[in-house]
Amino acid sequence: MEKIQQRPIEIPQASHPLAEVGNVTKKVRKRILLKDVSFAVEQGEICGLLGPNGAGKTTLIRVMTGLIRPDSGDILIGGRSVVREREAAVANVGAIVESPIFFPYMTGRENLDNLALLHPNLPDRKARKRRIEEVLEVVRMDKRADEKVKTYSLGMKQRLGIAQALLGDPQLLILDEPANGLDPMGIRELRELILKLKTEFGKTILVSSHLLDELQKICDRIVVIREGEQVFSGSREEMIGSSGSLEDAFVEMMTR
Amino acid sequence: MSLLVNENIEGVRFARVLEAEWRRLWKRRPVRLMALTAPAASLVSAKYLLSQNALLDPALPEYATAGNVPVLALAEMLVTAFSGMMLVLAGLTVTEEYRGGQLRMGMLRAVSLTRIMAAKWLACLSFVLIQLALYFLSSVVIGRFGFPNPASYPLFYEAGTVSYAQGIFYDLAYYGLAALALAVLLTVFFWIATIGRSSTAALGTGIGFLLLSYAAPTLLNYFRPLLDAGVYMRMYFLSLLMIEWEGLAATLANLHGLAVWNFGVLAGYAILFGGMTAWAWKRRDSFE
Amino acid sequence: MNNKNKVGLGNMVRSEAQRVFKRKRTWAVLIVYMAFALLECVFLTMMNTSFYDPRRSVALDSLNTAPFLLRELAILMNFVVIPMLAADSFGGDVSSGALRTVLIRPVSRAKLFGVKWLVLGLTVGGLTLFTWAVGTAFARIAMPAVEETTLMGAGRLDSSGALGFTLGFYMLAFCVFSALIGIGGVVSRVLPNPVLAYVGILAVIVGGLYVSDRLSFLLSVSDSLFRFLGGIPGSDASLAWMLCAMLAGCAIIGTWSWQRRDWTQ
Repeated sequence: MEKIQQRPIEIPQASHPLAEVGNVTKKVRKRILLKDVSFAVEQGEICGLLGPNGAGKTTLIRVMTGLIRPDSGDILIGGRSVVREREAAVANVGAIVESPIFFPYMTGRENLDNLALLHPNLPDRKARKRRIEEVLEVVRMDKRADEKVKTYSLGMKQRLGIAQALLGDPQLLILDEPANGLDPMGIRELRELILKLKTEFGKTILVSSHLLDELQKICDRIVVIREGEQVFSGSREEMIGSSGSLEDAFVEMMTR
Repeated sequence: MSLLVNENIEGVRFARVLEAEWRRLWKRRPVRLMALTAPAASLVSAKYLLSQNALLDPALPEYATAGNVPVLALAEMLVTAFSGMMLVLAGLTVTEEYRGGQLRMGMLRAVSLTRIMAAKWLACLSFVLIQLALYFLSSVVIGRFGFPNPASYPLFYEAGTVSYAQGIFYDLAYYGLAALALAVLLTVFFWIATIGRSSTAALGTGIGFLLLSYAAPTLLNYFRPLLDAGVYMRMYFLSLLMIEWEGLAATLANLHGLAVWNFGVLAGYAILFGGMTAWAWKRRDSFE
Repeated sequence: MNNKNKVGLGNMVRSEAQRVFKRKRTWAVLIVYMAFALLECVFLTMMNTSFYDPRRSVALDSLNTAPFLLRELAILMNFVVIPMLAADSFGGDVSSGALRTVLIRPVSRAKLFGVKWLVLGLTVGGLTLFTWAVGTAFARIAMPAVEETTLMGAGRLDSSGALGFTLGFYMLAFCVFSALIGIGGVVSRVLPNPVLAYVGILAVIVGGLYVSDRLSFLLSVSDSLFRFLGGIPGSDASLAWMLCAMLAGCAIIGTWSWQRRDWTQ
C-alpha cells in the first residue's frame, strides 16, 4: 500500500473545503426532493449524512455525483462545478450510489478492470493492473476477485463497491448506505476500513446512513436532512449540544 | 370444519393468489399504458382498412364493411400488437421476476411456484382478453360509423353471404377462436419465459418462434405442387401463427375439414407447452 | 481539463466491448445468426430462385446470389439480433443500475452513447460482412457459374461489377442496421426496461408502416434496397434521405438525452 501513500495529496487552499454543496434544490414534478441544502466537507474529514429513509440522502448523492442535475444551486468539488464541468469535478470523486450493483456476468476483477478503463489517471494496462490489485487488497477482496459477482454476498458487493470507488484514487469518497445488509461483524469491519481510508490514505469521506450509532463512532461532522430539508450541519459535539446524547438530539430534530 | 383445516394446510386459496397477481400486474405503469393498445390499434387498423378499400372491389370479402371490420382489423393486429403485448407480459412477469429474484418473496409465503405461475398465466390471459373485448367493441363502433354498411356482404372462403346482424355473430365466433389461439400462444410464451436466462433472451426466442412459424409455411409453399391440397392446408396450419392469421376464418368456413384439425393443433400446442411449463415449475418447486 | 486528463476513445470502446461480449447471450445470438446464414445458403441452392420484391423474381447464379441472403436474414437481424443487443446494451445495464458505476466516472456521456452505438455497429457490421463473404464465396462455389449477370438497376455486370454491386448493397444494408441500433438507443432512453425496449424497437419497425410507406425499409430491408438501387419510383426512392434523417435524428436525440437528462435508475 506504500504506493498509494507516496502519491502526493493535492490539498486545496486552506480557505476552500474539498466539497461545497450550495443551495441545492431539486424538484420532480411538484414534489420537492431537496430544498436549499448547503454544507461543506473539509479536506481529510469524515462527514456523516444522516436522515430517515426517504429523506433525500440518495437524491443528494445523485446530485453530487452528477447523475441528476439540481434545479438550482451547485456543487463544487476541488473548486470545480459538478453542474458546469462534471467530468473535471467527478475526476476527484469515487462513489457508491444507492447500492453496489455491478455487471453480474463478470467477475469482481473483470468489473474493476472494465471500470478502470474509464479513468484518465490509469492510462496503461500496467497501471490499471497495479491499481486493481491495490484496491482489492485494501478492501480484502483479493481472494474471491475471480468469481462472478452474482455469487457474491451483499457484504462482498459492498466491499467491491468501495474498491471501484477507490479506482481513480479520488480525494473524495461518497458512500451511500454502505452498511446496508451487513451483519454486526461486517459493520465493524466496514467502520475500520473507513477509518483506515481516512487516516492511512488521507481520503475525505461523505457517508450516508439512517443508523445513528454507525455514524457517531466515525464522523467528524454530521449533516442531518429530513424531507429534503437540511435541519442540521455541524460537528458531532455541536449536534449533541444541550441534548446530552446524539440520539436525543436526532430524535428531537426529527420530531420538531 | 375438517375442510377448513385442510385448506389451511394446503396454503393460500388459489383465488387469493390470482387476485394478488392481478393487482401486481395492474400496478405496473407499462401495463397500464399498454391497456391503451386496443383502442389505439383499432384506430390504426381502421385507417389502414380505409386506405385498402380504395384499391379493392367492393364485392370481395376483403373489402371492409361495417360488419367485417372487427374481423379484418383483428387479422391485422392479432399477430403483431397482441403477440407483442403477450411477450411483454410474459417477459415482465415471468423471466424478470424469476431471474431478478423477486419471486423469492412469494416462495416464503408458502405458495408453490407452480401455483404462482398458474395465477400469473390467468392474470395475463385476463388482461389480454379484456384487451380483445375492448378491441372488438371499438372496431364495431368504428365499423358502424366509418365504413359502408351494405345489406349483405360475403364471408371469407365462400362461407356464404350475411347481413350485418348475422355478421356480428360471425365476428363474435371469430373473436372466440382468437381468444383460444391467444391463450395457446400465451402458453408457448410462458414456457419460453420460463426457460429464458434473461428477459431479452426470452423475447428473442419468442420472436424467433414467431418468425419460424412464419418461415416454415412459406417454405412449404415451394412444395405446394407436390402435395395434395388437403394435406398442404393441414401442414400449413401446423403453424400457430398461420392459424392466427388465416386459420380462424378457415376454421369457421370449415375449409377442407380444417375445423377439427385446427382445434387439434391448438390443443397439441397447449398440452405440449403447458405440460413443459408445469413440469419446469414443479421441478423448481422441489429442488430450489 | 486538458487532453491528457481525458479518457481515450480506445479505452471507452474496449470497456463497452468487454461489457457486450462478456454477456453469454451476445455470443448465443451471434452464433444463431451465423448458423442461419449457412442454412440460408443451403436454402438458396435448393431454390435457385429469389426475389427482388414480391413482384420480381430472379434466377440465381454465381455472381448475383450474395445480396439475396439478406432477404430472410435481415428479418432475423432486425427482429432478433439488433433489438436484443440494443435492449441489453442501452437499456438492460441502465435499468439494472449497473451502468451507474460507469456514469459516475469522468467520461462524457454523449461519448458513452456514441461508443455504445459504435460497438454494436461494429458487431452488427461484422455479421453483415460475414453474410456478404459467405454469400459471395458460396455463390462462386455452389451456384451455376456465369461470366456475366444482371442485377436490377445495374444492368449487365461482369465479375468485378457484380462484386462492387453486392458490396454497395451490403454497405447500404449496414446503414439500415446502424439506423435501427440508433433507434434502439433512443427507445431505450425512454423505456430502459429491456423487455419494453425490445418490444418498443419492434413497435417502431412495425408501427412505421402505418405512419408512412417510406419507413417500410426497416421491415423489408432487401426489397427496399433493391428498389432503391434499381431506381424504381415509389416510396423507396427516398431511402437514402430517410436513412440520413434517421441516423442524424437518433444521434442528436441520443447524445442530447444522455448528456442532459437525469439518471434516476
